[in-house]
Amino acid sequence: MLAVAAWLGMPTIASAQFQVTTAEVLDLELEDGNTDTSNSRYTLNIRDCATAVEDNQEITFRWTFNVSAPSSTKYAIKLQPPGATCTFSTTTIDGDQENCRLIAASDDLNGTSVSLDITIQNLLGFSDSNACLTEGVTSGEYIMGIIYTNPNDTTAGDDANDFVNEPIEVTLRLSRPDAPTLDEVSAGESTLSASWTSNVESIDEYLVFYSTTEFAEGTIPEAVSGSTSSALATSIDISSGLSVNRTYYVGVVNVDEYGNRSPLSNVLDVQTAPTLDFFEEYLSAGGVEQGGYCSAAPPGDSVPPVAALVLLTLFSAHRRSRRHDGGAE
Amino acid sequence: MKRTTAYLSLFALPAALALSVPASAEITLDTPEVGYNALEIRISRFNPEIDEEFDGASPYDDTFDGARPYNLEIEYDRQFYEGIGSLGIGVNIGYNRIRGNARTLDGEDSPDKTRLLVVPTRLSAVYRFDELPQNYNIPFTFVFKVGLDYAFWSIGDAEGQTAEVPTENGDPISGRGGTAGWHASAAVHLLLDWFSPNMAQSFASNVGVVDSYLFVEFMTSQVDDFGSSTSWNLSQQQLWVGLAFEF
Repeated sequence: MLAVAAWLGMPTIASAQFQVTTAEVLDLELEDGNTDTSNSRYTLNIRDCATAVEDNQEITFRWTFNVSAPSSTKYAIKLQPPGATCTFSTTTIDGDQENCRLIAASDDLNGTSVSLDITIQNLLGFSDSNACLTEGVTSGEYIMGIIYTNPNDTTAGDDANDFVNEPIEVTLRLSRPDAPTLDEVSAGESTLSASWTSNVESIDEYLVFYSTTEFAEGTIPEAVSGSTSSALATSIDISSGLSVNRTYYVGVVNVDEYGNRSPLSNVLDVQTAPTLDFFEEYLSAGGVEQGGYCSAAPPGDSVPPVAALVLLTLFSAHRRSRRHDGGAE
Repeated sequence: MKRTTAYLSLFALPAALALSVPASAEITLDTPEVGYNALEIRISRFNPEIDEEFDGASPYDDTFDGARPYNLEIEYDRQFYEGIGSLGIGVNIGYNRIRGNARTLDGEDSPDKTRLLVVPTRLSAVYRFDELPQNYNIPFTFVFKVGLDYAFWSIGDAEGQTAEVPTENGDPISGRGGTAGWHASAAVHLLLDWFSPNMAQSFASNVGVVDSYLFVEFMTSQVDDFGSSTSWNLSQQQLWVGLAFEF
Protein backbone atom coordinates (compact mmCIF):
# COMPACT_ATOMS: atom_id res chain seq x y z
CA MET A 1 0.00 0.00 0.00
CA LEU A 2 2.83 2.34 0.92
CA ALA A 3 4.64 1.35 -2.21
CA VAL A 4 1.55 2.10 -4.27
CA ALA A 5 1.22 5.47 -2.57
CA ALA A 6 4.85 6.27 -3.22
CA TRP A 7 4.47 5.15 -6.82
CA LEU A 8 1.52 7.48 -7.19
CA GLY A 9 3.55 10.30 -5.73
CA MET A 10 1.32 10.58 -2.73
CA PRO A 11 2.76 11.45 0.68
CA THR A 12 3.05 8.43 2.91
CA ILE A 13 2.44 8.35 6.61
CA ALA A 14 3.90 5.36 8.34
CA SER A 15 5.53 4.61 11.64
CA ALA A 16 9.30 4.49 11.05
CA GLN A 17 10.92 1.21 12.01
CA PHE A 18 13.30 1.76 14.92
CA GLN A 19 16.78 1.10 13.61
CA VAL A 20 20.39 2.29 13.62
CA THR A 21 21.20 4.86 10.97
CA THR A 22 24.89 5.37 11.72
CA ALA A 23 27.42 3.35 13.69
CA GLU A 24 30.68 5.21 13.95
CA VAL A 25 33.80 5.94 15.95
CA LEU A 26 34.53 9.55 16.83
CA ASP A 27 37.90 11.13 17.60
CA LEU A 28 39.87 8.29 16.08
CA GLU A 29 42.47 9.90 13.83
CA LEU A 30 43.70 7.55 11.11
CA GLU A 31 45.77 7.97 7.98
CA ASP A 32 44.01 8.61 4.70
CA GLY A 33 42.06 5.67 3.37
CA ASN A 34 41.77 3.84 6.68
CA THR A 35 38.36 5.18 7.65
CA ASP A 36 35.25 3.66 6.09
CA THR A 37 32.37 5.29 7.90
CA SER A 38 29.71 4.01 5.53
CA ASN A 39 30.55 0.43 6.50
CA SER A 40 31.53 1.23 10.10
CA ARG A 41 35.05 -0.06 9.52
CA TYR A 42 38.20 1.51 10.89
CA THR A 43 41.66 0.20 10.13
CA LEU A 44 44.70 1.10 12.20
CA ASN A 45 47.97 0.61 10.42
CA ILE A 46 51.26 0.45 12.27
CA ARG A 47 51.65 4.18 12.71
CA ASP A 48 47.95 4.71 13.49
CA CYS A 49 48.28 2.10 16.19
CA ALA A 50 51.52 3.48 17.63
CA THR A 51 50.23 7.02 17.75
CA ALA A 52 46.86 6.11 19.22
CA VAL A 53 48.34 3.85 21.88
CA GLU A 54 51.10 6.28 22.78
CA ASP A 55 48.63 9.13 23.15
CA ASN A 56 46.06 6.76 24.67
CA GLN A 57 43.38 8.60 22.77
CA GLU A 58 39.88 8.46 24.13
CA ILE A 59 37.51 7.58 21.36
CA THR A 60 33.76 7.35 21.22
CA PHE A 61 31.68 4.57 19.71
CA ARG A 62 28.32 5.98 18.79
CA TRP A 63 25.21 4.41 17.40
CA THR A 64 22.54 6.78 16.18
CA PHE A 65 18.94 5.70 15.64
CA ASN A 66 16.38 7.08 13.27
CA VAL A 67 13.81 7.74 16.01
CA SER A 68 13.70 7.71 19.77
CA ALA A 69 13.81 4.29 21.27
CA PRO A 70 10.47 2.86 22.28
CA SER A 71 10.00 2.56 26.00
CA SER A 72 11.47 -0.48 27.75
CA THR A 73 14.08 -0.97 25.03
CA LYS A 74 17.20 -2.50 26.53
CA TYR A 75 20.69 -2.68 25.10
CA ALA A 76 24.09 -4.19 25.73
CA ILE A 77 27.49 -3.58 24.19
CA LYS A 78 29.98 -6.35 23.62
CA LEU A 79 33.60 -6.17 22.51
CA GLN A 80 34.98 -9.09 20.60
CA PRO A 81 38.79 -8.86 20.53
CA PRO A 82 40.86 -10.99 18.13
CA GLY A 83 40.60 -14.65 19.07
CA ALA A 84 37.38 -14.31 21.02
CA THR A 85 33.86 -15.18 19.97
CA CYS A 86 30.92 -13.14 21.12
CA THR A 87 27.32 -14.04 20.74
CA PHE A 88 25.68 -10.92 19.41
CA SER A 89 22.17 -12.27 19.75
CA THR A 90 21.98 -11.93 23.52
CA THR A 91 22.59 -9.10 25.95
CA THR A 92 24.59 -11.36 28.26
CA ILE A 93 27.87 -13.19 27.82
CA ASP A 94 26.44 -16.56 28.68
CA GLY A 95 27.88 -19.00 26.23
CA ASP A 96 30.40 -16.53 24.89
CA GLN A 97 34.12 -17.23 24.99
CA GLU A 98 35.94 -16.02 28.02
CA ASN A 99 37.63 -13.19 26.16
CA CYS A 100 34.39 -11.65 25.01
CA ARG A 101 33.97 -8.47 26.99
CA LEU A 102 30.61 -7.18 28.08
CA ILE A 103 31.03 -3.41 28.12
CA ALA A 104 27.44 -2.54 28.99
CA ALA A 105 24.62 -4.83 29.98
CA SER A 106 20.85 -4.45 29.90
CA ASP A 107 20.80 -0.72 30.15
CA ASP A 108 17.77 1.27 29.20
CA LEU A 109 17.98 2.72 25.74
CA ASN A 110 16.64 6.23 25.75
CA GLY A 111 16.72 8.91 23.11
CA THR A 112 18.16 8.55 19.62
CA SER A 113 21.75 7.55 20.27
CA VAL A 114 24.06 5.46 22.41
CA SER A 115 27.65 6.51 23.02
CA LEU A 116 30.51 4.68 24.60
CA ASP A 117 33.74 6.43 25.54
CA ILE A 118 36.80 4.22 25.79
CA THR A 119 40.54 4.76 25.63
CA ILE A 120 42.55 3.09 22.92
CA GLN A 121 44.65 1.19 25.45
CA ASN A 122 41.51 -0.12 27.10
CA LEU A 123 40.05 -1.09 23.76
CA LEU A 124 43.14 -2.86 22.46
CA GLY A 125 44.23 -4.30 25.78
CA PHE A 126 47.84 -3.13 25.71
CA SER A 127 49.70 0.07 26.46
CA ASP A 128 53.10 -0.29 24.79
CA SER A 129 53.14 1.58 21.50
CA ASN A 130 56.33 -0.24 20.48
CA ALA A 131 54.23 -3.38 20.22
CA CYS A 132 52.55 -1.78 17.21
CA LEU A 133 55.88 -1.08 15.52
CA THR A 134 57.51 -4.42 16.13
CA GLU A 135 54.55 -6.68 15.55
CA GLY A 136 54.54 -7.41 19.26
CA VAL A 137 50.79 -7.78 18.99
CA THR A 138 48.94 -9.67 16.33
CA SER A 139 46.76 -8.10 13.77
CA GLY A 140 43.06 -8.70 14.09
CA GLU A 141 39.58 -7.33 14.32
CA TYR A 142 38.01 -5.71 17.35
CA ILE A 143 34.26 -5.76 16.95
CA MET A 144 32.28 -3.45 19.18
CA GLY A 145 28.63 -4.38 18.82
CA ILE A 146 25.48 -2.97 20.27
CA ILE A 147 22.70 -5.46 20.94
CA TYR A 148 19.27 -4.04 21.64
CA THR A 149 15.83 -5.49 22.04
CA ASN A 150 13.93 -5.58 18.85
CA PRO A 151 10.80 -3.45 19.20
CA ASN A 152 9.59 -4.79 15.91
CA ASP A 153 9.64 -8.39 17.04
CA THR A 154 6.06 -9.54 17.00
CA THR A 155 6.68 -13.22 17.55
CA ALA A 156 6.05 -14.63 20.98
CA GLY A 157 8.75 -16.30 23.06
CA ASP A 158 12.48 -16.32 22.67
CA ASP A 159 13.74 -16.49 19.14
CA ALA A 160 16.39 -15.11 16.88
CA ASN A 161 14.43 -11.91 16.38
CA ASP A 162 14.53 -10.84 20.00
CA PHE A 163 17.63 -8.71 19.56
CA VAL A 164 19.18 -6.59 16.90
CA ASN A 165 22.94 -6.25 16.56
CA GLU A 166 24.86 -3.40 14.97
CA PRO A 167 28.66 -3.88 14.98
CA ILE A 168 31.50 -1.42 14.53
CA GLU A 169 34.72 -2.96 13.32
CA VAL A 170 38.15 -1.70 14.38
CA THR A 171 40.95 -3.64 12.74
CA LEU A 172 44.65 -3.69 13.51
CA ARG A 173 46.83 -4.21 10.43
CA LEU A 174 50.33 -4.53 11.78
CA SER A 175 52.07 -6.64 9.17
CA ARG A 176 54.80 -5.03 7.15
CA PRO A 177 55.26 -5.84 3.47
CA ASP A 178 58.62 -7.19 2.37
CA ALA A 179 61.30 -4.66 1.50
CA PRO A 180 62.16 -3.77 -2.10
CA THR A 181 65.66 -3.92 -3.53
CA LEU A 182 67.36 -0.64 -4.29
CA ASP A 183 69.15 -1.13 -7.61
CA GLU A 184 70.84 2.14 -8.44
CA VAL A 185 71.31 5.69 -7.27
CA SER A 186 73.02 8.57 -9.03
CA ALA A 187 73.32 12.25 -8.33
CA GLY A 188 73.96 15.55 -9.98
CA GLU A 189 74.53 18.72 -8.01
CA SER A 190 70.92 19.18 -6.95
CA THR A 191 69.09 16.08 -8.10
CA LEU A 192 69.24 12.56 -6.85
CA SER A 193 67.95 9.66 -8.92
CA ALA A 194 67.07 6.21 -7.60
CA SER A 195 65.54 3.07 -9.04
CA TRP A 196 64.51 -0.14 -7.35
CA THR A 197 62.75 -3.46 -7.77
CA SER A 198 59.80 -4.69 -5.75
CA ASN A 199 58.45 -8.21 -5.80
CA VAL A 200 55.48 -7.42 -3.56
CA GLU A 201 52.06 -7.20 -5.15
CA SER A 202 49.40 -4.73 -4.08
CA ILE A 203 51.87 -2.01 -3.22
CA ASP A 204 50.25 1.40 -3.14
CA GLU A 205 53.40 3.47 -3.32
CA TYR A 206 57.03 3.62 -2.43
CA LEU A 207 58.78 5.88 0.00
CA VAL A 208 62.38 6.87 -0.59
CA PHE A 209 64.49 7.90 2.38
CA TYR A 210 67.60 10.01 1.87
CA SER A 211 69.90 11.57 4.38
CA THR A 212 73.47 12.63 4.97
CA THR A 213 73.27 10.44 8.07
CA GLU A 214 73.85 6.79 7.41
CA PHE A 215 71.08 4.30 8.10
CA ALA A 216 71.03 0.55 7.90
CA GLU A 217 69.22 -2.01 5.83
CA GLY A 218 66.26 -3.59 7.58
CA THR A 219 65.64 -0.66 9.90
CA ILE A 220 61.97 -0.03 10.50
CA PRO A 221 61.19 3.19 8.66
CA GLU A 222 59.52 4.79 11.66
CA ALA A 223 62.97 4.80 13.28
CA VAL A 224 64.74 6.37 10.30
CA SER A 225 65.41 10.08 10.47
CA GLY A 226 65.79 11.49 7.00
CA SER A 227 63.95 13.21 4.24
CA THR A 228 61.39 11.26 2.30
CA SER A 229 59.84 11.42 -1.11
CA SER A 230 57.03 9.20 -2.34
CA ALA A 231 56.78 7.56 -5.73
CA LEU A 232 54.19 5.53 -7.60
CA ALA A 233 56.70 4.07 -10.03
CA THR A 234 59.93 2.23 -9.26
CA SER A 235 62.17 5.19 -9.93
CA ILE A 236 62.34 8.76 -8.78
CA ASP A 237 64.22 12.00 -9.26
CA ILE A 238 64.49 14.03 -6.06
CA SER A 239 65.36 17.70 -6.36
CA SER A 240 64.59 19.19 -3.01
CA GLY A 241 66.77 19.67 0.02
CA LEU A 242 70.02 18.54 -1.56
CA SER A 243 73.39 20.23 -1.31
CA VAL A 244 76.31 19.83 -3.64
CA ASN A 245 79.42 17.87 -2.61
CA ARG A 246 77.67 15.87 0.08
CA THR A 247 77.28 12.13 0.52
CA TYR A 248 73.68 10.97 0.71
CA TYR A 249 72.47 7.59 1.93
CA VAL A 250 69.40 6.31 0.13
CA GLY A 251 66.94 3.55 0.96
CA VAL A 252 63.42 2.73 -0.13
CA VAL A 253 60.41 1.01 1.44
CA ASN A 254 57.23 -0.54 0.08
CA VAL A 255 53.98 0.96 1.31
CA ASP A 256 50.93 -1.31 1.27
CA GLU A 257 47.27 -0.47 0.86
CA TYR A 258 46.88 0.31 4.56
CA GLY A 259 49.89 2.60 4.64
CA ASN A 260 52.19 0.10 6.33
CA ARG A 261 55.81 0.44 5.37
CA SER A 262 58.24 -2.38 4.84
CA PRO A 263 61.61 -2.46 6.56
CA LEU A 264 64.22 -0.37 4.80
CA SER A 265 65.77 -1.82 1.67
CA ASN A 266 69.48 -2.13 1.15
CA VAL A 267 71.13 1.28 1.46
CA LEU A 268 73.26 2.85 -1.26
CA ASP A 269 75.26 6.02 -0.97
CA VAL A 270 75.97 8.62 -3.61
CA GLN A 271 77.81 11.92 -3.68
CA THR A 272 76.37 15.05 -5.20
CA ALA A 273 78.82 16.83 -7.50
CA PRO A 274 78.79 19.89 -9.75
CA THR A 275 77.29 19.41 -13.20
CA LEU A 276 77.22 21.48 -16.35
CA ASP A 277 73.92 22.98 -17.43
CA PHE A 278 73.47 23.59 -21.13
CA PHE A 279 75.00 27.05 -21.06
CA GLU A 280 78.03 25.81 -19.16
CA GLU A 281 78.32 22.89 -21.56
CA TYR A 282 78.09 25.26 -24.52
CA LEU A 283 80.69 27.67 -23.16
CA SER A 284 83.06 24.93 -22.05
CA ALA A 285 82.97 23.59 -25.62
CA GLY A 286 84.20 26.99 -26.80
CA GLY A 287 80.89 28.70 -27.53
CA VAL A 288 81.05 32.43 -28.16
CA GLU A 289 77.59 33.56 -27.04
CA GLN A 290 77.85 35.94 -24.11
CA GLY A 291 74.17 36.41 -23.29
CA GLY A 292 72.34 39.71 -23.11
CA TYR A 293 70.01 41.39 -25.53
CA CYS A 294 71.50 44.30 -27.43
CA SER A 295 74.97 44.86 -26.08
CA ALA A 296 76.51 41.47 -26.56
CA ALA A 297 77.46 41.98 -30.18
CA PRO A 298 79.94 44.63 -31.25
CA PRO A 299 78.49 47.94 -32.47
CA GLY A 300 77.29 47.68 -36.02
CA ASP A 301 77.40 43.94 -35.80
CA SER A 302 73.91 43.34 -34.58
CA VAL A 303 70.39 44.57 -34.95
CA PRO A 304 68.67 45.84 -31.83
CA PRO A 305 65.25 44.46 -31.07
CA VAL A 306 63.32 47.20 -32.76
CA ALA A 307 60.70 44.81 -34.03
CA ALA A 308 58.03 46.26 -31.80
CA LEU A 309 58.75 49.79 -32.97
CA VAL A 310 58.72 48.79 -36.62
CA LEU A 311 55.51 46.93 -36.08
CA LEU A 312 53.82 49.92 -34.57
CA THR A 313 54.93 52.06 -37.47
CA LEU A 314 53.74 49.67 -40.12
CA PHE A 315 50.47 48.96 -38.44
CA SER A 316 49.69 52.60 -38.31
CA ALA A 317 49.35 52.46 -42.09
CA HIS A 318 45.82 53.07 -43.22
CA ARG A 319 43.46 50.20 -43.70
CA ARG A 320 42.42 49.56 -47.20
CA SER A 321 39.91 47.42 -48.93
CA ARG A 322 40.96 44.39 -50.80
CA ARG A 323 40.44 43.66 -54.46
CA HIS A 324 36.83 42.96 -54.49
CA ASP A 325 33.64 44.01 -55.72
CA GLY A 326 31.93 46.49 -53.54
CA GLY A 327 35.00 46.95 -51.42
CA ALA A 328 34.97 50.23 -49.58
CA GLU A 329 38.16 52.20 -49.48
CA MET B 1 69.48 15.94 -50.59
CA LYS B 2 67.26 13.55 -48.73
CA ARG B 3 65.83 16.41 -46.65
CA THR B 4 65.11 18.43 -49.80
CA THR B 5 63.30 15.50 -51.36
CA ALA B 6 61.21 15.13 -48.24
CA TYR B 7 60.32 18.79 -48.30
CA LEU B 8 59.31 18.62 -51.98
CA SER B 9 57.16 15.59 -51.33
CA LEU B 10 55.29 17.50 -48.63
CA PHE B 11 54.69 20.36 -50.99
CA ALA B 12 53.10 17.83 -53.30
CA LEU B 13 50.51 16.87 -50.70
CA PRO B 14 48.13 19.75 -51.32
CA ALA B 15 48.41 19.17 -55.03
CA ALA B 16 47.44 15.56 -54.61
CA LEU B 17 44.50 16.57 -52.49
CA ALA B 18 43.38 19.08 -55.05
CA LEU B 19 43.56 16.60 -57.91
CA SER B 20 41.38 14.20 -56.00
CA VAL B 21 38.49 16.64 -56.07
CA PRO B 22 36.02 16.55 -58.96
CA ALA B 23 36.82 19.07 -61.66
CA SER B 24 33.36 20.47 -61.40
CA ALA B 25 34.08 21.99 -58.00
CA GLU B 26 33.60 25.73 -58.06
CA ILE B 27 35.88 28.05 -56.18
CA THR B 28 34.28 30.79 -54.18
CA LEU B 29 37.07 33.07 -53.09
CA ASP B 30 35.38 35.40 -50.71
CA THR B 31 37.08 38.55 -49.71
CA PRO B 32 36.41 40.91 -46.88
CA GLU B 33 34.95 44.26 -47.68
CA VAL B 34 37.18 46.37 -45.51
CA GLY B 35 40.79 45.56 -44.76
CA TYR B 36 42.31 42.14 -44.99
CA ASN B 37 43.88 40.09 -42.29
CA ALA B 38 45.22 36.59 -42.05
CA LEU B 39 45.96 34.39 -39.10
CA GLU B 40 48.29 31.44 -39.43
CA ILE B 41 48.68 28.66 -36.91
CA ARG B 42 51.48 26.29 -37.71
CA ILE B 43 53.74 23.61 -36.38
CA SER B 44 57.25 22.48 -37.16
CA ARG B 45 60.25 20.89 -35.50
CA PHE B 46 62.68 22.96 -33.47
CA ASN B 47 66.12 22.31 -34.86
CA PRO B 48 68.59 25.14 -34.23
CA GLU B 49 72.06 25.01 -35.70
CA ILE B 50 73.80 25.75 -32.41
CA ASP B 51 76.29 22.94 -32.88
CA GLU B 52 77.34 24.29 -36.30
CA GLU B 53 79.55 26.72 -34.43
CA PHE B 54 81.83 23.95 -33.26
CA ASP B 55 84.36 21.80 -34.91
CA GLY B 56 83.60 18.40 -33.46
CA ALA B 57 81.84 19.38 -30.24
CA SER B 58 78.07 19.11 -30.07
CA PRO B 59 76.83 20.57 -26.78
CA TYR B 60 73.24 20.90 -28.03
CA ASP B 61 72.94 17.34 -29.24
CA ASP B 62 74.78 16.00 -26.21
CA THR B 63 72.58 17.82 -23.74
CA PHE B 64 69.25 17.32 -25.46
CA ASP B 65 69.99 13.93 -26.99
CA GLY B 66 69.35 15.22 -30.46
CA ALA B 67 65.72 15.88 -29.64
CA ARG B 68 63.76 17.90 -32.20
CA PRO B 69 60.62 18.92 -30.31
CA TYR B 70 57.56 20.23 -32.06
CA ASN B 71 57.01 23.91 -31.79
CA LEU B 72 54.01 26.04 -32.42
CA GLU B 73 53.84 29.49 -33.91
CA ILE B 74 51.14 32.02 -34.61
CA GLU B 75 51.36 34.66 -37.31
CA TYR B 76 49.18 37.64 -38.01
CA ASP B 77 49.31 39.27 -41.43
CA ARG B 78 47.83 42.50 -42.66
CA GLN B 79 47.65 43.37 -46.34
CA PHE B 80 48.15 46.94 -47.47
CA TYR B 81 48.61 46.70 -51.22
CA GLU B 82 46.61 44.92 -53.90
CA GLY B 83 47.79 44.39 -57.45
CA ILE B 84 48.87 41.16 -59.00
CA GLY B 85 48.63 39.38 -55.73
CA SER B 86 48.90 41.35 -52.56
CA LEU B 87 51.55 42.73 -50.26
CA GLY B 88 51.39 42.97 -46.54
CA ILE B 89 53.27 42.67 -43.32
CA GLY B 90 53.18 39.95 -40.77
CA VAL B 91 54.19 39.46 -37.19
CA ASN B 92 54.92 36.12 -35.68
CA ILE B 93 55.63 34.63 -32.29
CA GLY B 94 56.50 31.10 -31.31
CA TYR B 95 57.45 29.00 -28.34
CA ASN B 96 60.12 26.33 -28.05
CA ARG B 97 61.11 24.63 -24.85
CA ILE B 98 63.42 21.68 -24.63
CA ARG B 99 64.70 19.85 -21.58
CA GLY B 100 67.71 17.66 -21.20
CA ASN B 101 70.07 16.26 -18.63
CA ALA B 102 72.90 18.37 -17.33
CA ARG B 103 76.27 16.76 -17.89
CA THR B 104 78.73 15.60 -15.31
CA LEU B 105 82.28 16.87 -15.46
CA ASP B 106 83.12 13.52 -17.01
CA GLY B 107 80.71 14.18 -19.83
CA GLU B 108 78.02 11.76 -18.69
CA ASP B 109 74.32 12.41 -18.24
CA SER B 110 73.41 13.43 -14.72
CA PRO B 111 69.97 13.46 -13.06
CA ASP B 112 70.08 17.28 -13.04
CA LYS B 113 67.85 18.90 -15.64
CA THR B 114 68.64 21.85 -17.82
CA ARG B 115 66.43 23.57 -20.36
CA LEU B 116 66.54 25.88 -23.31
CA LEU B 117 63.63 28.21 -23.94
CA VAL B 118 63.44 30.12 -27.21
CA VAL B 119 60.67 32.55 -28.12
CA PRO B 120 61.18 33.56 -31.73
CA THR B 121 59.56 36.73 -33.04
CA ARG B 122 59.46 37.74 -36.67
CA LEU B 123 58.51 40.70 -38.75
CA SER B 124 57.85 39.78 -42.37
CA ALA B 125 57.00 41.34 -45.66
CA VAL B 126 54.41 39.02 -47.15
CA TYR B 127 53.55 38.59 -50.80
CA ARG B 128 50.56 36.47 -51.71
CA PHE B 129 50.09 35.37 -55.27
CA ASP B 130 46.41 34.49 -55.28
CA GLU B 131 45.58 34.97 -58.94
CA LEU B 132 45.10 31.27 -59.51
CA PRO B 133 42.01 30.81 -57.35
CA GLN B 134 40.72 34.25 -58.31
CA ASN B 135 40.89 33.88 -62.04
CA TYR B 136 41.59 30.31 -63.01
CA ASN B 137 39.64 28.15 -60.60
CA ILE B 138 42.85 26.61 -59.30
CA PRO B 139 42.86 26.36 -55.49
CA PHE B 140 46.46 27.29 -54.83
CA THR B 141 47.94 30.46 -53.46
CA PHE B 142 51.67 30.97 -53.23
CA VAL B 143 53.02 32.99 -50.35
CA PHE B 144 56.50 34.39 -50.02
CA LYS B 145 57.93 36.07 -46.95
CA VAL B 146 61.13 37.79 -46.04
CA GLY B 147 61.92 39.68 -42.90
CA LEU B 148 63.73 40.15 -39.64
CA ASP B 149 63.95 37.82 -36.67
CA TYR B 150 64.58 38.38 -33.04
CA ALA B 151 64.70 35.33 -30.79
CA PHE B 152 64.46 35.72 -27.06
CA TRP B 153 66.10 32.82 -25.25
CA SER B 154 66.85 31.62 -21.78
CA ILE B 155 68.74 28.67 -20.35
CA GLY B 156 67.77 27.05 -17.08
CA ASP B 157 70.22 25.43 -14.71
CA ALA B 158 69.85 22.37 -12.51
CA GLU B 159 67.90 24.30 -9.92
CA GLY B 160 65.45 25.72 -12.42
CA GLN B 161 67.00 29.19 -12.30
CA THR B 162 68.44 31.11 -15.21
CA ALA B 163 71.92 29.74 -15.77
CA GLU B 164 74.84 31.88 -14.73
CA VAL B 165 78.39 31.03 -15.66
CA PRO B 166 81.20 32.61 -13.64
CA THR B 167 84.02 34.30 -15.53
CA GLU B 168 87.59 35.09 -14.67
CA ASN B 169 86.83 38.77 -14.11
CA GLY B 170 84.14 37.87 -11.61
CA ASP B 171 81.15 39.00 -13.64
CA PRO B 172 79.00 36.00 -14.43
CA ILE B 173 77.52 35.54 -17.88
CA SER B 174 73.75 35.28 -17.68
CA GLY B 175 72.17 32.54 -19.70
CA ARG B 176 69.53 34.64 -21.34
CA GLY B 177 69.40 37.11 -24.14
CA GLY B 178 68.19 37.80 -27.62
CA THR B 179 69.58 37.02 -31.04
CA ALA B 180 68.68 38.85 -34.23
CA GLY B 181 68.59 37.62 -37.80
CA TRP B 182 66.56 37.33 -40.95
CA HIS B 183 64.39 34.78 -42.69
CA ALA B 184 62.87 33.95 -46.02
CA SER B 185 60.15 31.48 -46.85
CA ALA B 186 57.98 30.10 -49.59
CA ALA B 187 54.65 28.41 -49.05
CA VAL B 188 51.91 26.70 -50.96
CA HIS B 189 48.42 27.32 -49.62
CA LEU B 190 45.59 25.03 -50.58
CA LEU B 191 42.23 26.79 -50.53
CA LEU B 192 39.96 24.60 -48.46
CA ASP B 193 36.84 26.48 -49.57
CA TRP B 194 37.25 24.72 -52.90
CA PHE B 195 36.39 21.39 -51.31
CA SER B 196 33.24 22.52 -49.58
CA PRO B 197 31.90 25.84 -50.83
CA ASN B 198 28.76 25.62 -48.72
CA MET B 199 30.66 25.06 -45.54
CA ALA B 200 33.00 27.89 -46.45
CA GLN B 201 30.04 30.18 -47.04
CA SER B 202 28.64 29.27 -43.65
CA PHE B 203 32.03 29.79 -42.01
CA ALA B 204 32.23 33.23 -43.58
CA SER B 205 28.78 34.36 -42.58
CA ASN B 206 28.86 32.90 -39.08
CA VAL B 207 32.47 33.40 -38.01
CA GLY B 208 33.77 35.98 -40.42
CA VAL B 209 36.48 33.79 -41.88
CA VAL B 210 36.24 34.33 -45.60
CA ASP B 211 38.90 31.89 -46.78
CA SER B 212 40.65 28.97 -45.13
CA TYR B 213 43.86 27.33 -46.26
CA LEU B 214 45.97 24.31 -45.46
CA PHE B 215 49.56 25.13 -46.16
CA VAL B 216 53.13 23.92 -46.14
CA GLU B 217 55.93 26.41 -45.90
CA PHE B 218 59.65 26.05 -46.19
CA MET B 219 61.58 28.61 -44.21
CA THR B 220 65.24 29.30 -43.90
CA SER B 221 66.32 31.58 -41.12
CA GLN B 222 69.72 32.99 -40.25
CA VAL B 223 69.60 34.00 -36.61
CA ASP B 224 73.12 34.75 -35.41
CA ASP B 225 73.14 38.52 -34.93
CA PHE B 226 74.02 38.78 -38.61
CA GLY B 227 77.23 36.89 -38.29
CA SER B 228 78.39 38.44 -35.05
CA SER B 229 81.50 36.90 -33.61
CA THR B 230 79.90 36.86 -30.17
CA SER B 231 76.63 35.25 -31.08
CA TRP B 232 75.54 31.69 -31.28
CA ASN B 233 73.61 30.29 -34.16
CA LEU B 234 69.88 29.81 -33.78
CA SER B 235 69.39 29.47 -37.52
CA GLN B 236 67.04 26.79 -38.78
CA GLN B 237 65.77 25.16 -41.94
CA GLN B 238 62.18 24.39 -41.17
CA LEU B 239 59.21 22.90 -42.88
CA TRP B 240 55.99 24.20 -41.47
CA VAL B 241 52.50 22.78 -41.77
CA GLY B 242 49.54 24.84 -40.73
CA LEU B 243 46.18 26.42 -41.25
CA ALA B 244 45.59 29.95 -42.43
CA PHE B 245 42.42 31.96 -42.10
CA GLU B 246 41.65 35.18 -43.91
CA PHE B 247 39.19 37.52 -42.32
